[in-house]
Amino acid sequence: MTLAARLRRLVRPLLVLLLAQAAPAHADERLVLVVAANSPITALSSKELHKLYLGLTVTVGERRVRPLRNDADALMHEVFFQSIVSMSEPVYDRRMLAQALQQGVLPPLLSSTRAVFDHLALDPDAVSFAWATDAEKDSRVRVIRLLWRR
Amino acid sequence: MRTSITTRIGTVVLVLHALLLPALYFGISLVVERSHADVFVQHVRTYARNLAEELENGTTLDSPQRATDFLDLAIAHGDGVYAELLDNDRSLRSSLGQPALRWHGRNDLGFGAGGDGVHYLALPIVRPGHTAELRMGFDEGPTLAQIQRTRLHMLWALGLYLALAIAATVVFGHRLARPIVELARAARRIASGDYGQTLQLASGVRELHDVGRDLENMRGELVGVNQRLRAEIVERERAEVRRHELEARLRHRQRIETIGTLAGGIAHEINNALLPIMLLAESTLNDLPPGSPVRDDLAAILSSARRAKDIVVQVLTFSREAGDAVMEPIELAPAVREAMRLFALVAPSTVQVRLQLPEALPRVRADAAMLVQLLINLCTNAYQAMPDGTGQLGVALDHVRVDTAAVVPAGDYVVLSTTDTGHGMSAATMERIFEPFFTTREVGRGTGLGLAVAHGIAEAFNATIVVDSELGVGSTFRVYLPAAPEPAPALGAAP
Repeated sequence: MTLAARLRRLVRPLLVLLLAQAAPAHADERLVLVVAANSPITALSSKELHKLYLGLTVTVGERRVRPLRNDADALMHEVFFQSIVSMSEPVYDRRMLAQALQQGVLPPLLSSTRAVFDHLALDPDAVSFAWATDAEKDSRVRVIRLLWRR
Repeated sequence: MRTSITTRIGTVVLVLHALLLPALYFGISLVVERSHADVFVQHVRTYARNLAEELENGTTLDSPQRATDFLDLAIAHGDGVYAELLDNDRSLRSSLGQPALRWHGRNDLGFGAGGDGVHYLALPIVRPGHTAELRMGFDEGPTLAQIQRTRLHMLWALGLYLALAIAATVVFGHRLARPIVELARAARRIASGDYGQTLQLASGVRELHDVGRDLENMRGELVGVNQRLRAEIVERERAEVRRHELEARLRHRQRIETIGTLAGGIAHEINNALLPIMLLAESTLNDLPPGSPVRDDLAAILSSARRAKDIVVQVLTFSREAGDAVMEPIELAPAVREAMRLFALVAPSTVQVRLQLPEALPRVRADAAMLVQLLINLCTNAYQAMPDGTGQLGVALDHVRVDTAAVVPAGDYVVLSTTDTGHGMSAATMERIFEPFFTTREVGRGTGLGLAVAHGIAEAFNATIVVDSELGVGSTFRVYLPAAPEPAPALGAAP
């Protein structure tokens, strides 16, 4: 193993540890899928969730589900790629670029959990994800499934 | 410190490559690693998601045996080395993976994040009646090996490129430096005096070619200037020699004129003194009766006086005070023939005379009788210079046009020349031959007035005598007589 590879192997865990430390206190809990408290959506499978964040159409009953992407912190950013779309970030970005060029609809990107919850409160057909500790504190949203757990 | 152009170019290339190649290597390495990592992550996430979807949507979770078979298939058909299913606190694990691996609660978010060569993923399974989680571990080794191989190939490629670059630099540097070295060599040869050395550069580099062309033009200019300077120096040296000759001739002429003036004055006085001597001697001789004892004495006095008068006349001729010359345009050839006829009477038969007398010659302004005397004097001097009076004497006439003033002014001349095979003269003798009474013969033989009289006659004709002589070979006397202007044809004359 080369010196560079050894250095990387030493540095990467530290980076991940730093990411984890830099994340909010709830980062050691669970990432959950949330909808508005009055939303008719009660469940979404992994496959439906995957399709939803790839820009494909997913319906519940007669209503089209609208995804919101929560990018509140770095760990959530990484977990989104690993557990929700199950892609590497460059591949997902290329997919979204192709989607945009084909006049497709991209999931809106929000930079805070509060903003996500505000949107969800106004749109019962919207879904998003958040740390479970945050979701359980806000009565305007409802958890419908577990997405990731440390 | 002065270094060659090849060394300088090589140094620049090496420094540039020393800076650029590591940057290029690490840059490409980073791209390669990230590319491979992205492919790996994309692959394992897609694979794990497909497995999770199968567990969520199928009936695998309903049977532990099917779940175990499912985990075995997950490892057998993928790159997994660890597969575990946690279902309602019951753990099922595939036996096909690496038994030594343990789940440590990790959920790796990036390639190589764990540092142990295994990439762990945990996906929650949502199915009514089940609280499950799929835990997978994938071997990062093949991807790491691929990255290492790519790096190694890249190192080889960059090394090969560096070697080729150095070789190309050396070749290019030599090719670039060669014409410059040749140019410097040629310049040194030119500096050492070899002006025929060309400065053409056999180079395909336009700037070098232009420099070579300009230097060659400059060399051509320098060679031309050098040749002009040399020619000018030679011309100046010739002019200096001519000036010395003219100065010597002027001094000689001034000396002759001084001598002529002095001799003429003395000759006049002697002539005045001789006149009563001769008249009284003749009168007394006529008055004496025949048989007088003093008659012989008076006859001797009269003879000596007449001889002295002849000498006085010759001296006066030399000093151009003869005064009875008849100057008119004459043809020289008849005068020369007359002179040679008279000379034949006194010249011994051992002297072979050759005449070259062209007919069509310009006329000259002269006195025919004096010209005859001049030529006889020159011929007499020539035959007397021959050992034992034996030799060849050439007499010639020629028409000469002098374009540049040298020994004579520019113009048309008829040259009367005598060439003998005598013993020749030294430079000191030539300096004095026209002085009256100068002679190289023993005392009592000759008066030393022959060439002096010839010089006086030539001066009277406005002519110039030029003498060339070499000891043991002979002498040549050339009399430059200015050609008389041709008279205009009479009006109405027949063509």
